[in-house]
Amino acid sequence: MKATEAEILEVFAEALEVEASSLRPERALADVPEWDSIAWLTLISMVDERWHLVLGAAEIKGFVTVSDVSGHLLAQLHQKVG
Amino acid sequence: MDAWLAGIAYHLPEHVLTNAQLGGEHPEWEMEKLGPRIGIASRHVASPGECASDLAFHAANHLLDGLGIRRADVDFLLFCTQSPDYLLPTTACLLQDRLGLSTSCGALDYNLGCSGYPYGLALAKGLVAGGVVRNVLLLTGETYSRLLHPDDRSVRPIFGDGASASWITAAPGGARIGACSFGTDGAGAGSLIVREGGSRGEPRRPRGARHEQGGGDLFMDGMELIRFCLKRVPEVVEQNLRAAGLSTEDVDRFVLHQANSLMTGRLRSKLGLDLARAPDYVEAVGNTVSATIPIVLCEASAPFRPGERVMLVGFGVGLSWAACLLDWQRPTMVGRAPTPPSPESPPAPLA
Repeated sequence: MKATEAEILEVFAEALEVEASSLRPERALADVPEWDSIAWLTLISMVDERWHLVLGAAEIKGFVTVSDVSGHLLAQLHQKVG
Repeated sequence: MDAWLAGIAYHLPEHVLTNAQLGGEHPEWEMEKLGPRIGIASRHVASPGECASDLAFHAANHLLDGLGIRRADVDFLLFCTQSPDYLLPTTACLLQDRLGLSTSCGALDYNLGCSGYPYGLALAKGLVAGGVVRNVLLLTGETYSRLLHPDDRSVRPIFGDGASASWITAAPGGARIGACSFGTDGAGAGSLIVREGGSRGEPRRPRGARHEQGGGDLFMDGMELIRFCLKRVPEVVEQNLRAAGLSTEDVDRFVLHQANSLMTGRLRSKLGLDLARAPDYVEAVGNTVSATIPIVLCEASAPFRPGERVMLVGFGVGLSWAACLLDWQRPTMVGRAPTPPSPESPPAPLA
């Protein structure tokens, strides 16, 4: 299933319960107070439901910026389609 | 021979820990935001000296009295706990004596957590349907609060203490226990564990109100558990449906282990269920481990009708998971035991 960066950011914003416009690509996740274990659970399950892709703990722990999340998902989803 | 779940009761410790109290201790936890997201407003916490067996004892008395069952008719006692009174003997032996059960009653503990209730029903079904015994008293009880580090935000708001009691019998009329399905993945043991105190780990170090967090505290790798639940719960539901030759539409109700309402919400969404088909009861009690499913059955099964099919799904520490189908007829939900329970001081530690 294909996804655009905008769609991914929309899902990410929904998981964090913030406005998508607040998620600039270079923003550090350490500076996003909503990025906690509940947001992880929400993001993992939303990505699973929408794109049938289950993110791993190591992948999530490796995310440093917003663009890491969207870039990783774009690559994974592209790979899945390809 | 069929095995029937005839009735359920449960008991909670008297002391209640609210989100406001947790927030007072830890303003940085933002309990006013966290509480609604996990769907938990308060949890019951055992007092010092109050054991899982005490909670199970009160649940058992409430059940047996509520159903009008003579203590002599209990042929077998199963106690699901990870909070035994002693390293040995098995706590079920102590409960046999304390409940006044016959000395010809079998009794054993089994060590499981959130998957423990469907496992217990399956074991009880085996005993009854195999003609080994006629009646089984199945108890589940935990005091996880003792294992939680006071500063651990990932576990302390979630878990509550509690116990359940269920009566499984050859006498028809309650809910017939149907297909049971299991799963185990010990490779994930480290994602929910207390490392100290067993034979392989370090000896258990003293824990106080201000101790440093360590291997004597419950460790939970939330992310691994999320992955585990999203993968294994739909799998075991499918496995159980296959075992019974049914499809999802044939099952009227699903009772999921109440990890927290965020998790049950995601699972409902993944399984295509709504709250009417898969009710929650977690807000006032939290995750009571092996007691969550019987508590939901007591508190939220009023709309269940005779003839409905009900699937129970437990999953957690082990990693371990199980599902069990019930043909719902007229089981008796005896419900919550009065708090405080009838005055009876807990037994003193054995000399």
